[in-house]
Amino acid sequence: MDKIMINHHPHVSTLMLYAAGSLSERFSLVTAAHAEWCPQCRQQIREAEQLGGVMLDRVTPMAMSGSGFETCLSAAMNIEPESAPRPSTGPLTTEIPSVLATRLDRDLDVLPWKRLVQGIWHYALHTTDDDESGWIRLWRFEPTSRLPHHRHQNQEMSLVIQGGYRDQLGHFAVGDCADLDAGDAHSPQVDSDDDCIALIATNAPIKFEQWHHRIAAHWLGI
Amino acid sequence: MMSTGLAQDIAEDIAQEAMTNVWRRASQYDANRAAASTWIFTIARNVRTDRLRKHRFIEVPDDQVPPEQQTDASNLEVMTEYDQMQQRMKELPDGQSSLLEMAYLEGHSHGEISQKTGLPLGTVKTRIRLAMKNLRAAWTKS
Repeated sequence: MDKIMINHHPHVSTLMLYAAGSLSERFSLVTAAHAEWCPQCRQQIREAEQLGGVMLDRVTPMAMSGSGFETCLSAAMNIEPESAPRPSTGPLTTEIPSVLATRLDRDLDVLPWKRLVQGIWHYALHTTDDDESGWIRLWRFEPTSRLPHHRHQNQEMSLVIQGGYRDQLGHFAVGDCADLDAGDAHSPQVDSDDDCIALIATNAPIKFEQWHHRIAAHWLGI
Repeated sequence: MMSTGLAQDIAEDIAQEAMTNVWRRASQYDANRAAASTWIFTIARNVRTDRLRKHRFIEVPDDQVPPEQQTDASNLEVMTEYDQMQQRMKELPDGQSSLLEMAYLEGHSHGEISQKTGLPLGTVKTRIRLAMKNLRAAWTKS
């Protein structure tokens, strides 16, 4: 894909928790997909991984039990070292981040999208996260469509994959990531000529301002 | 791994698999890209994610990054950065370093750290950002 200009990034603490391995699978997927397009965030992740090494060095070593140590040693003695993997000769970029592409078995155009309401479609992705109130989905918004004003009750991350939208926080184009917290409220409106497609993950249902939207959202499981 | 509060058998199981992976992949370690501790940390992190979170750690693939965007430092630079971060870590206020330990060693998310410490979520995130800023100043100022 052509070079993209990214203006919105995940929060530093989200990048750090990702590198620490303490972020849920769904937020890790959005973070990794964004980082694949964003050299600045890759650098911050590298620094956060370096901090992991520093943290590991600070830990006082504890002895393994006798059997644990022996198992470890015998396992190590009986395995063949892996040779370094050959450098990939595949394409350097993809139209969508490869961490996302590997989870879809077909192109975005022919995904079995489910229609939510007029002009808004979605496709659920599956993760092993065990909280039932969260979800990760691809959303497809037709041009000029708008999500009614709503407030988040917990973290929500979204990454624009195609097209763009505008809300109270600014303009979000391909590669931009919104990392929202509990209490953040907005009403995104698509402002691209094509459909806007975004990868969105949350760990709590969103709360619409209008009662009829709230009832509908409850029924639709968002 | 036992410092993370895990039961001994689970901690040993994870440590064993991590060390086996370190052994097998030794030839893949590139001293010009990361300190050995950093590399070992990422291997242990991936094993812990597999075992405790039941999914593979989602890595940003290296080969998707155009060569001109890949950073390639020398081993000397890597170790200087590492030593400076280690030094800065010692100077970090307890209120910041304890949150980092919860994230890195105990595997807690934002919400869990907030619950454990009684700090509002926003404060947890701000303190983590401040800690990273302090640690990164280790080499951006030098």
